[in-house]
Amino acid sequence: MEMSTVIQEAPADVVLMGLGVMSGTIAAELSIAGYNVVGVTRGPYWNYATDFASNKYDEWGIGFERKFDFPASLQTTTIRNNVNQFALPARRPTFPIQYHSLGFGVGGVAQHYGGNMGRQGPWAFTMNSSTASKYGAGHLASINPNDDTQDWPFTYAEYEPYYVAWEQAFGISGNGNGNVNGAPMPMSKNYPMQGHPLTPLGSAFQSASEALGYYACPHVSSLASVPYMNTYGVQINGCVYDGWCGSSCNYPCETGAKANSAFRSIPAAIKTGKFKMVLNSEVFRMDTKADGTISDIRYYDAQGNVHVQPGTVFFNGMWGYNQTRSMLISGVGAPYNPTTATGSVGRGLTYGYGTYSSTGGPSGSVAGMGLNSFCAGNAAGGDTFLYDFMDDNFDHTGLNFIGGAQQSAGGYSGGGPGNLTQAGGVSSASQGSAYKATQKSKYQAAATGHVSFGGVAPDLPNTTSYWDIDPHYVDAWGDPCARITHDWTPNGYLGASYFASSPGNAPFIAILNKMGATGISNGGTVVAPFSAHTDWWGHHWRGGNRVGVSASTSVFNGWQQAWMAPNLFAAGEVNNTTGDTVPSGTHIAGPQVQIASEGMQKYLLSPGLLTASLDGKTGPT
Amino acid sequence: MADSGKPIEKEGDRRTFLKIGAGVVAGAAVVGVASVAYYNNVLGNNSSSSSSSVASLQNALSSTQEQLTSTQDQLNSTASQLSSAQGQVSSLNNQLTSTQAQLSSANSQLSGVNSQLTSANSQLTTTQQALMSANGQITSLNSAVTSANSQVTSLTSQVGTLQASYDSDTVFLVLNTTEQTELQALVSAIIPTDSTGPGAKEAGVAYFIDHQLKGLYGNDGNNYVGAPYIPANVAAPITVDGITYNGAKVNYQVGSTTYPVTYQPTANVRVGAGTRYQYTWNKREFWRLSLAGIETYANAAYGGNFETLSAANQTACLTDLWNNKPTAAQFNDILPSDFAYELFFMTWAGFGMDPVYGGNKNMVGWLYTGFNGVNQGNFYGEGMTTKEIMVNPNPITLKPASLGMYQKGSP
Repeated sequence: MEMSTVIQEAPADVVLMGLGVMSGTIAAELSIAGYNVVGVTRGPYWNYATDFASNKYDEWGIGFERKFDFPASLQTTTIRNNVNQFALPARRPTFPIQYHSLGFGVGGVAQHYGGNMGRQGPWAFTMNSSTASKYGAGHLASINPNDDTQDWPFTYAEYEPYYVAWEQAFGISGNGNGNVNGAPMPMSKNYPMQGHPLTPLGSAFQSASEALGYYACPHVSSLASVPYMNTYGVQINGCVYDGWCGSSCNYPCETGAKANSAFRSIPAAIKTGKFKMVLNSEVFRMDTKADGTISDIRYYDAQGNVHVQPGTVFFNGMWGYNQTRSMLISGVGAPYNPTTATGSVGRGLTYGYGTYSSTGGPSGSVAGMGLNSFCAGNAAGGDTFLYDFMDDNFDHTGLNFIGGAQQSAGGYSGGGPGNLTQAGGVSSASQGSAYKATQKSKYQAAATGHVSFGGVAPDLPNTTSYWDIDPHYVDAWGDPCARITHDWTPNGYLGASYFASSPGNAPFIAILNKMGATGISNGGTVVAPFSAHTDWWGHHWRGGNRVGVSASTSVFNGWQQAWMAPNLFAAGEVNNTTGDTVPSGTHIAGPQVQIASEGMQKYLLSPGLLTASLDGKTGPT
Repeated sequence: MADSGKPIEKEGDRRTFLKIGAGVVAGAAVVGVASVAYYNNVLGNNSSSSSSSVASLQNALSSTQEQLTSTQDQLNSTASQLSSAQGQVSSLNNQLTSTQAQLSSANSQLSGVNSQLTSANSQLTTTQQALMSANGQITSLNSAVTSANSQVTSLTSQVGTLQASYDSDTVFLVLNTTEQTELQALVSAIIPTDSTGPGAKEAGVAYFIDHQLKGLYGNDGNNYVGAPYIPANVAAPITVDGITYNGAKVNYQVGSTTYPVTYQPTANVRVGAGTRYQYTWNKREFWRLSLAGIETYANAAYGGNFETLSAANQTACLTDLWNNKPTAAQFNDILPSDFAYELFFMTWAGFGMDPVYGGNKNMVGWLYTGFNGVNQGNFYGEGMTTKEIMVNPNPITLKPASLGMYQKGSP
């Protein structure tokens, strides 16, 4: 094999690894601030108007063959539930759920995500200390085996201005985030765009729940509900609700309404003339100096040449496990050791989404609903949601779990006809005339809306779930793949069980009655925790590269700055410390990237570890 | 006439009268009337002369009076004649006026006719030119007709090609004839053609699957294929690359409740999962081995090839596969449920994917499920948007459109 040519690039002030949602914010704000910025991404720079205008209506190509994703054939991740197991590699990118929809190019995975947004409330930022103060010092350890829960470095009040800055720049649609008996989630500024239109069922749920004293909000979304100009001066089109959007988050957006960096922040960076975009190139190493700081990154271009890109300050905007993997294979930070429970890179891995195939909460049917479910979809699906049953918004005294679950109803799935097989997959029952009849007119004819409530409580950090480097499998360039060692904590299951039986199910039964539902089920069986859940993964990993107040248990400080490499910053869902079962780590990482932007500018002015006191700026300058 | 009682005092007036009377024929009578008036004046002035001569004069007067009477009679007659003549003159004048008007009209018409003639000449010239041009066009059109005939021939040929292309969608590219027959029976058992509508057969599901086996899916083109290959659900300890995995038994304590958990050396992942498929074969070989395995099992358990079984036995046979009957050892080292998942999944995909992939022919799958395809509310002129339909409390059916129709831009 021919040796690679090594190409030395000119130093830049700021070097970005990846050009997804998080890197896009840094690219825009640091280039607007006058710094030279270089960003490297694996794929192309998609133009939604031309690249997605017609060929996005291809469910097989997009949803199954994953034609807009980074090829699964080039890199995988392995997974196991316990440290004494062999971790199996995911060989297929999809089905029965989405395993491996890695981002490919500018915009990253947000080119084809759901766009589900929603702030994380005050409780989750102090989950550890507030549980101790309210339910007792030993409570969390007693309900969460091998507990490794930490508080975030800052409180909700301190993050709040950065939430606002990110929401105004990224473009969030909604109207409030849920307020229960005195607004536990105060917003100094509402979302910049109104919520999406409500489906008949979404309206019915809203009316019924509000009549019972709850506060139902339109689904918070990063899909623009109306045309909008963001704080970077980038014009955004509104959603057309054509339905080719949902179905496991498969479809890129032909109008640019679905927010990602390619349509929000990168255009502003390009306009400055200070931003260099390197496409179709694979970042594979960070090189360090003796003092631990990063000297350069190395990447392969499309021809296999190696480029060395030096810089003053670096931002790791890679998604999910690749952010952690890149640090582990580059020797940046202390890898987590599960035997001794020491080290921080890879530590505190949790899953931020619903975890069980059946959560068993109350359900019922409401007549007189249109259910033209081929429309809308994803976060523009037209549902409303309650925040009342999340966090500590209801009393957990005497309960063996913390947190809760968002309740929503009325969202349309949109999406392609593959929902036939995708919603729950196929089974031995999926044959014959009787089953076939259940598929008749399934997209619009049934005027009865099915509603179900409940859901799992959050997966909690523990010392047995973590990321490391797999000893058996390598990517197409010969570097080891990431390995996930994770099992669901009992907390999720116990929360789901509470919602599925008396008295936890009572509020939902009341709402169903208020909606005039028939055939109400009080709740059923919930799948037990632990093992056999290695097939629901690939997206929404939370933690594993946490921010925190201590270098021994976290990788980054409150400024999103690596403790062990002060010129390395990062932001993303994997940098969330904890959270409830919320749909969006992206939204929760929003204030994190705004803080990183501010921190990087501080570092450029005065290198070194930053003190943990935020400026609380209200928007990009 | 209007001027008859008015004295004529001046030559100018008489001329004026004449002029007004305007009659050459009536000229002499006009002079006579003027003379009688003159004598009357003279006689009147001498009526007081001597009596001796009165008799004579009376005689003379009488005579003269007689003459006068006579003259007056004549004058009356003449006046009558004049009146008559004047009526005739008036009539003639009227006729003259009328004639003049007719003349004027005639002149005008003549002028018009001349103008028309000029125009007609001009038109004639133009028409002649047009005729020449038309002759040229006829020549040209003849040429075009020849060309069009040629195109028709060409298009007919293309239609034949397109028909052949369409036919190729109903051609098998991977599976052999035995496998084709078996697969048609398998997919028809999963989605039967029945009273509710078309099934897998009409949708061309078998062709969809066959074509997928030829391409990315069949070749595992977008699958991670790196070694080692370790199956899921391994119960005994395994050693891989010198590392031994024993699994573990763990008791998790939550409050007063204990959750005992057994972790096998590899997890028991559900069928279809991305971590479940750990076979060394690509999907094409996986399918062919499995199709052969089904025929072997159908013969052993139900007494014939799958395609020959009763509907009830076909259903039973398919259900057996999900329950891992036969064993993997009897099924070419493939766990039957792993193939059952692929078979069912790909069958429903062939019913629901865009027709461009060879299944869902004529969009029968979309018509059955009520899916709109790429019709966003106005593809056939329905005049709606999906944004409006989204909030509509009534079920709304949109006739589906395919990707091909959408890119073409018309139904």
